[in-house]
Amino acid sequence: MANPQLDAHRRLIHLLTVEGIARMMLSTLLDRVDHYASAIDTDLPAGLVPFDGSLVFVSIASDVDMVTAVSKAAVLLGEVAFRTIRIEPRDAPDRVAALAEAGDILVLHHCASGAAHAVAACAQPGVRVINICDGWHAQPLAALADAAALRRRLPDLHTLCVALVGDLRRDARMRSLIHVLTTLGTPELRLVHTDGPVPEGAMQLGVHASSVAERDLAFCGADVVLTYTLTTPHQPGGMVMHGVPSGQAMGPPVTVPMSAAASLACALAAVVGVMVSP
Amino acid sequence: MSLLQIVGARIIDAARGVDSVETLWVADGYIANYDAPPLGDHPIQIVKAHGWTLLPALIDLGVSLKARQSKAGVSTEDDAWQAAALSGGVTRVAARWQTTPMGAGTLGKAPGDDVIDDPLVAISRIYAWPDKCAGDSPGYAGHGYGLSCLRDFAALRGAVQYAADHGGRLWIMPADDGLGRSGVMAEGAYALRLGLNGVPASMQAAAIGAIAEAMHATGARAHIASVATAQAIAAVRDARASGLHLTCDVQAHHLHLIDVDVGYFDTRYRLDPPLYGSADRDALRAALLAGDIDAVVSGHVPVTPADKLTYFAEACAGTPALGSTLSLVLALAQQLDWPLLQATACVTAGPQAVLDGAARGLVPGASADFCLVDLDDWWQPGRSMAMMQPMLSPFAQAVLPGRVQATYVRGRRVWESRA
Repeated sequence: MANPQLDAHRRLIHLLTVEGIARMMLSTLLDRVDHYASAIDTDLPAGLVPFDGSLVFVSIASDVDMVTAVSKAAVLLGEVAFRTIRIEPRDAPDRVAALAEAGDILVLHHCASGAAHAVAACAQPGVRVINICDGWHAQPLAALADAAALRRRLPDLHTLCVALVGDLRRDARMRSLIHVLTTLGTPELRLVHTDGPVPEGAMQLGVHASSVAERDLAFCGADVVLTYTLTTPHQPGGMVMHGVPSGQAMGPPVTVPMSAAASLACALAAVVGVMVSP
Repeated sequence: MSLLQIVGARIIDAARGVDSVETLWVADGYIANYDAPPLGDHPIQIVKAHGWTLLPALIDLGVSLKARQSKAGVSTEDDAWQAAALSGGVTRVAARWQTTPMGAGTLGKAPGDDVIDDPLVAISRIYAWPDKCAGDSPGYAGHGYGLSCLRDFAALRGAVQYAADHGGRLWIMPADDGLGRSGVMAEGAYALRLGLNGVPASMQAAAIGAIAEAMHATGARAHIASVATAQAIAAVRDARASGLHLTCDVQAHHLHLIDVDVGYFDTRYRLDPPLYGSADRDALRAALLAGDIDAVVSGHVPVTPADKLTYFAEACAGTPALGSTLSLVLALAQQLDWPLLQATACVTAGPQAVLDGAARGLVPGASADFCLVDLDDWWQPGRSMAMMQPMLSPFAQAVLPGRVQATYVRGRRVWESRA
């Protein structure tokens, strides 16, 4: 089965999920996220990319953070044109895909799992689709931003024991981060599932999953704890990073210098940069 | 009297346990004799079928049809389904109507009765409870479809009691609103990955348990449609072991496909019940070989491209499948090295026994409904001119064995392959 995100030369043409993206490409993406993160405060282009089209942000909701992120990304990429279009959840994928013209990058926020894949399948050649959030399925940009933030604090991802707290079934952002970390070789991921019994199939994601009752055991010896919260259904939630100073219990939150919108903007700019680079 | 002579065909008739090359004689639409011609001097039409296989016409117990209201009455939406059925050698279906048109629910009357006086493909109707019909009414297959087994136990008991009182049969897909209806694919690792709601594998077994419990007191008959999991098969075995008169069928898709075939949200694989894992598929195959499953059905649902060109959870569940069941069974027989006599039984004698109580097969005096199949030929459903919306089938690109060359109803050739 061909991966719809990659072309025949295995170059990135869409970013629909982080699953199936090779370790080397993920590393390249994270390097670029770091590059843009160091330039974000100046609000100046952080390196022009050869891109004539525009960023088309297509969303089912008016999420301020996301609109800010796309506009910031447009600035980072060198004053790229961008526009925002509101859609209804029931709009068919071919109609959504038709909102972008050849050469454009369609940034999608939808409530249906698999919406990004459906839109990408209908998109005309030359349109690239970047998934910001598709229901419970994936939030690849936020996961890249989280992984980059984690790597900045603890650079040796391949030696870490990471504890995650969140809803495995509904939190696409956390699940996407799990895919990023397992691909990058993080040896131990422990998950505390916060919503009832651990879902069937958690083991196959490469995590040791446990329920809330066993959370202390999950934190014991972990290098870092990432706590994920969901706000409303189909809206991206938040992430808080905690150190584990005593090696036993979750410590106070680690201060992250960047806002959610800014980190999302860096991830978006990084993905666009990789996509359009020759 | 007009005679039809089929020469040279290998006749596989599971009901009679026959697998041999014989000459079949048909007189006035009925099976007359084998090898020796009927007495008398009559015009003879000869069909040379050397190299082909003659099977009793197929019976498909799992078909959905769309109904439509018009001035002439209520009819099936179009006749394309008949051509699709005949192209697969099917001349009789047990069908449920997808929409309940005005006037339906009248006791003893199927919507199709008004228009289709003499359909080529005979329809036995499955009624959605609380629509009902006495067991001895013409065109009755069963009732109870769409009933929630666990949430609405009182209604389930009502339907079972009605079946017991009126000589009917509960015909039901073991599902439950509360336990699984918000799910769009099988619960498990793949649904978790895709962020989709899952239907637990235990749902069907739990529903079958509830059906068995409701049946115990009454002695009613029941048919379980579209068994899809290993647990459900075990529940059917348990119910039978306790003396219940229970039959069941499986959709051909569930014998070939598993949940990961959904791939990247391919809506063609959105089925009802959903596709489960390989262990469930293997259990279904083993149960079929062991004779625990009475029939293999198409699970045909008349969908349009618009139904499938949407997001996975929004897509219409089901797939157009009329016409492909025989080939899917033959493909399975090849994979599992399963004798053709047993393999063809699950689409001919098995479903006939479910509907009529016993399978007769092509005995002298029976209606001459049969099909001629080239077992050595291959075809691609996606290129079929007869199937409905073949590109929406999960098997559109597959190459399947066994092409139906001609289908006969009452001794008359009603469909012929143009390939």
